[in-house]
Amino acid sequence: MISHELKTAILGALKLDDWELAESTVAAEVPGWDSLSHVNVVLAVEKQFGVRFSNVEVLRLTNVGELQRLVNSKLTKQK
Amino acid sequence: MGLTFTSFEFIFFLGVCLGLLHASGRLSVRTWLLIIFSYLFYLTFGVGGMLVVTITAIVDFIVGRRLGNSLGEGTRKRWLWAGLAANLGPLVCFKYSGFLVEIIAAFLHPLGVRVSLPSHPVLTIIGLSYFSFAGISYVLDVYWERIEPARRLPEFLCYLMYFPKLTAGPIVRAADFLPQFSQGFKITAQDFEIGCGYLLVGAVKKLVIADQLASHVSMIMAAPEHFNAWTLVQGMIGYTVQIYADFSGYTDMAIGCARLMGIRFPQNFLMPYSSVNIAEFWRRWHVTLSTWFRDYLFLPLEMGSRGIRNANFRVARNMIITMLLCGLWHGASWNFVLWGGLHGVALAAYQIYATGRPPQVRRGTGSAFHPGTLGARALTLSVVMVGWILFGTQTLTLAFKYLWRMATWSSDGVALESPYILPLTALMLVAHLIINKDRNLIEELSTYSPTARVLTYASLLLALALLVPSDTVPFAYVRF
Repeated sequence: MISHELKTAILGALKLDDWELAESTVAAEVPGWDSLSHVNVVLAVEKQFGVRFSNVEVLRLTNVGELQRLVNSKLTKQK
Repeated sequence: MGLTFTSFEFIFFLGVCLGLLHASGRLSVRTWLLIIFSYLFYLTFGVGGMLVVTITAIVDFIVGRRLGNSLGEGTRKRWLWAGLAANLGPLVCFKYSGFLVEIIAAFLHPLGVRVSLPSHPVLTIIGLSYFSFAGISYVLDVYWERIEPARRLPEFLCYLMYFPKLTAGPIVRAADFLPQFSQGFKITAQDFEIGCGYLLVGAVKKLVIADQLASHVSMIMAAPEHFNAWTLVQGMIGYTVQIYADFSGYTDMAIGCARLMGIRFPQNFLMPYSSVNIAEFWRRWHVTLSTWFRDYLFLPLEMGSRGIRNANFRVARNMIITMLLCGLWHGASWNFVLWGGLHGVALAAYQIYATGRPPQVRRGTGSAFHPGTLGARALTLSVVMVGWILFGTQTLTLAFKYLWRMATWSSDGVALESPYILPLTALMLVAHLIINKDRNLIEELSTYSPTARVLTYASLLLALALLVPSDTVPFAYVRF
């Protein structure tokens, strides 16, 4: 399940009003989410949740579901 | 030198390989057959290279297995570096050592130190760049836990050594190749037809288009000072068509060979000359190389530099670094470096232009005949064609001479009339203009009526029978 906050951060970075994001969604399926905008998405997610990802953590991601799980694990560690 | 896809010897070799593969039922037997045939194929290019790539493949396999075991991050990093060194080491030693010595010699020359340059490379290893990049992608994918490491060495050897992609790609990822093994190379009648279709189209592109252009174009590229500006323009557009027909023809044949064995390769060329911007061009030209650079160099650079606040500066910097190295990948020469630099600057400029504009600007959608689309295509193609002069000439001096004589519209020099350049260029441009760039006609053809298919295949065979020049030239991208 993709949280509303994560969806807001991703769509905001891509300047999209709305787009369906599922766990299995990959970047190539979302308009404007390419290698050039990828870092903007990462920065927006980090800012939204107040977390910091390592480079390897980001490079491992293959879909939005994995990004959600990474955010969740970071938030759990913060508590 | 070596077996080439367009030779009768290769057709015989492929036929025997396919016959034995289909006669053998067990997957392990098929795997060993593919390894043996891949080694036989590579042996025709020399023994030295075979030893180097075998050792590298074994090291990659071991590194993958070690990374697959749950180790501490420090140990994993050490194995990662070992894997990268195993792949980059041979590249530096056998492909770039002469170029590096040349640079060092140039730096030491003003100090009065003379360094003698080797007259020829220690060992030329055909396909080393493709092989090394496939190895690096495997090691990094296992390190990033995107894929499971290969379980058996024969499977892995088959992945790296597989002969249809060994000498000039496409750069197939382990994630795309290895799972097809477990499915057991299933091949249908449609696969067989599509495979033959790819082989035919590839052969026509190479032998009928690229090789017809080769003699005139290479003459112009070799000595631009002897020709007038109009001839040089023809040489430039002729080379633009030749390099595409040559390399995409090779790739079509590689895809066709693999398809006949039930293995699907990714597409490498998606009508690149119909691109409306330079970023789209790189999503359509040599796709397996550009996505390699995107995933294993550009994105790590982007992640590592995301602290830089000026996004345009960051992207431009990373884009130029990536494209300079992409240029260097093609060969140890300043021409390739500058070619990469030109594309890097063009990509960076385009990125700055596209920032904040709607996604369809980046993706290049819209009517193919809209004046804006046609203008964008012409501008993109102009940048690409200027790049091909850097790419196709032997030295920077020749490249600048070529560009200068065209820019000043020099009328002195020979006017070379080629009966092929303009008609074949027109054919290629019209094809790129009218065919929907997202369609794959070779795959689609197998769904057409029998009459349409027979007529198409017969026309291709007729073209091969009647229009192949007497002197054919090696595939251009094999030398990389």
